[in-house]
Amino acid sequence: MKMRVRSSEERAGRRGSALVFSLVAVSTVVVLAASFTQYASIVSSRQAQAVDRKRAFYVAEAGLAEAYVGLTCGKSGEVGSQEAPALLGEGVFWTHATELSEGVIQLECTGMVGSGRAKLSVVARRGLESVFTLGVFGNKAVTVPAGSRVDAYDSSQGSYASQSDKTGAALGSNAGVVITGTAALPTVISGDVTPGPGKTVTVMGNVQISGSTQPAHAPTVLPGVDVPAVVLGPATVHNSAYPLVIPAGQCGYQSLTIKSGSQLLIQGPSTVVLGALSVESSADVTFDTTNGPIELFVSGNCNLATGSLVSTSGTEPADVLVQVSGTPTSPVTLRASGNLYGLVFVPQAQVILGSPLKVFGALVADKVTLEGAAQLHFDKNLAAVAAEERMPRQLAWRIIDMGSIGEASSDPFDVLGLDKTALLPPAESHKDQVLVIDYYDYSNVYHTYDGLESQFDWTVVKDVIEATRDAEDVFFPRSPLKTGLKKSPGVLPVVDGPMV
Amino acid sequence: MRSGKGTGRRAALAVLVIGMAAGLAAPLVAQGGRASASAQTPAAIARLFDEARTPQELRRRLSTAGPEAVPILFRCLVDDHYPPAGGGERAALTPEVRAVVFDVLCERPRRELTSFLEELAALPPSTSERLEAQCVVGRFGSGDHARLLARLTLEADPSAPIVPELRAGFTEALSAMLARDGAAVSRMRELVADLPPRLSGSIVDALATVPSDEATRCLASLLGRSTGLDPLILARLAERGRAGVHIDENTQEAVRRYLGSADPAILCAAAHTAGELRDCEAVEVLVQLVDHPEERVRSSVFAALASISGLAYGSDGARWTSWYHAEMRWWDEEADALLVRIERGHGAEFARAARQAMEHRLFRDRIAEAFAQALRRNNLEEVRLSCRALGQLGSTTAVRGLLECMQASDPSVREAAWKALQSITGSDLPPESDSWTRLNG
Repeated sequence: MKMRVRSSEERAGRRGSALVFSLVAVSTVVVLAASFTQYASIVSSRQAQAVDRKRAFYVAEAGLAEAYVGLTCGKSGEVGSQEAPALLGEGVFWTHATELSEGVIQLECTGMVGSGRAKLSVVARRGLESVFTLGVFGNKAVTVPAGSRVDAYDSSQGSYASQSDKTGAALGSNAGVVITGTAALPTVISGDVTPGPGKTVTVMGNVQISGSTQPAHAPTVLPGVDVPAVVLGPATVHNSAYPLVIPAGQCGYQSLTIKSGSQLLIQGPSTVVLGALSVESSADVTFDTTNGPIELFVSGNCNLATGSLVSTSGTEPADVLVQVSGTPTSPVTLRASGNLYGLVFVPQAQVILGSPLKVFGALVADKVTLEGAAQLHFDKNLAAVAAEERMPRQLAWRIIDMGSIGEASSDPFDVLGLDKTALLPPAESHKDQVLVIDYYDYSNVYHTYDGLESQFDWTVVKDVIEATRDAEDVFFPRSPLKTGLKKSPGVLPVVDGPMV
Repeated sequence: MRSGKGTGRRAALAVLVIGMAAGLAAPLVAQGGRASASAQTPAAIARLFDEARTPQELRRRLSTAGPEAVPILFRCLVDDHYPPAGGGERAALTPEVRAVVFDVLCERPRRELTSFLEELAALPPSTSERLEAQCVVGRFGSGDHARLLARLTLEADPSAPIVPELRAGFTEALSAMLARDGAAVSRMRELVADLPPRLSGSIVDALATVPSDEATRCLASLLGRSTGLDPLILARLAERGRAGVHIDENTQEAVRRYLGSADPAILCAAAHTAGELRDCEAVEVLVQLVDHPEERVRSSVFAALASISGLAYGSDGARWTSWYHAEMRWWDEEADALLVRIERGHGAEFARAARQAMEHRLFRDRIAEAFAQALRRNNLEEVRLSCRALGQLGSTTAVRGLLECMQASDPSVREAAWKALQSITGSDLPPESDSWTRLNG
């Protein structure tokens, strides 16, 4: 048996090499472990940041929603501030509102949660107040002749003739209302009659009023007519055996006269602007709303002579909107016959309505003069349409910024220097406003309050009669859809001081 | 036995006597009834009204009346009162009774009604009589009675204007007659030529209510007869296009001719109609009109281009022009190869070709034809994709192919075809193939 004997030189040459290898291996493992640890830490940190950004995004969305809901009830859209943000869960947000143009508001909300930060923006248009819920309304005194019928129906439920419930009409004025009737020609008002504040309803003869005759709580200010900018064609006199067709789209004439025996056909969807409109006897005007609604604006005189005819292809009053700017000296005469399913708004002039024209919809004017027995059928569906119009409309939404705080601390309360316990929840973080409110308390006592909203205790309110925030009407989405004018309580209110 | 025979003879004799009596009595009763009905006077008619306790009973009694009842019933309707009885005060008709009287009158034999109305038209009648007569003609009349309807509407003085209510009544009655008598549509051209122009608009309006191809062709054939009538005809054709009624090439061509009119109002109407008809052939002329000096013409042209192309270039004339040139270039240089790929390609190649083709809308009918060929394939995915493409194109070219797909065994293909048909026709019919076949009908 041979044995290999290592020499001492060989042993000296190999001494410590295992240690080196071990050290290299250990160091490699250590480096790898450190790298993996750091990598895991980075991934974990990134995941945490992503989660925080997502949460911040949702907090900012919630902030926008809070501000948007505020807009629907007359609030400013300002919720919290960077110095005093609203607290939501483990995060905070504040919303800033900027009025870009009249009625157009930009809301910018910043949300912060953990290390996440998100900034979102919405541009919205404030809702519009519809005057057509007033039903039949005259700024000046309204006189209803004998044999008239003012009632209501709901166009969303079918035709007027098919409905048995004709109550819910609204007849009002900023001045007094005089209603006459005779045994042969009784007058029927199936709803409320509301004279102006401090004014009365004078009833003479055979008159039936199914609703209240209490006066209005406050006078109603009618807005002006906003005539759209449409290039007007030349003044036109249409005297032909064939109809004049105004097709869908925008169209305008400096003035338009429809001579006797001629026809005017306006097709929707269209916006028609006329300097003046004259429809002579034996002429007729047809609103064809088969394909869409029609808006007719008349800036000057508007005269539909006796013996002319007005007709609409549909029976939806909201599809035909007639607005006349007019002047107090030149009344708008609607002496045509036929059924007009539409809305008539003449805020600065008198409307003379002949008895052959039955109006289904609403009629609001500076002065309403009814010639003979009038047939006015208010469309209750207009209240539902108006409620939708009062809601703000979202025009744009965008993300302005999504990121991390980038500070040493990942806590927004540290970054902003806030005491979490001192922050308010979103509903209490809206900017303080001047609240003017008339309401009934739980004992049905009439109160009024005029002051900062922060000093008002909403828990004492049972029913709101009327309220404004910074002079903007407050809309209560859950309240029943009221038509006509707000009624006066008829007694002096209890004047409230600061409650909180 | 004898007594039995005697009883049988007596019974037979009794039956014979009763039979003879009945045979003699029946004509007498009938004659008597007729005699009493034909002897109806206003007083007798009034008695019928008084005696009837329900509208149904009144209907039964009035329907036995003779031809003399026609003027009496007509007078009831005009006056809206019961017939006079003994000089007493006449009560107003209730809506139910009025409906009964109207129904009974309109159910009289046509010759009775026609001769009565002819006499009435010669009088001349009052406006309320004319209005009532229009309702009656509208209820029973056919195309043969259109001229009678016109005589009842027009005043004796040809220069006198027509009362607007009478014009509306004429339109309504003629619409009802055309709905009942489809063959009368073809006679409307003669009617427009023969009757005074004041009724032309009403005839056009009545024609526009008839949803048939014949009515569309008739409307189109009236174009150019009178300059004043053209805007109305164009507007009614536009309505038909918007409603998804099939418009043939000749009608589109007739509308297209008006895009060369010098009258801005006619130009606006023609552009609007071409847009509503989605007439791709009109795009070339429309693009030439984007710089028209009249703003209302330009806005009509832009709206028409947007309607045809489905693009929202608004009032940017330059953009519309460049879009048109790009589409034409594509059509000249690339379209053929792409359409071949749609017609013959399969799988990914077909899907790619479909996506590329959907970017072009100007020649959608031709593109739709290519997709229509793919509807017959066995590959369900490709058939579904073709249905979706056809729905987006909105071309009526492939309606027949889609109707066939509505009968496919695969439910997903049926659903895709149904959605495409809804998109093309604008109709909200249920997914049963029968209802769509009837619509296409």
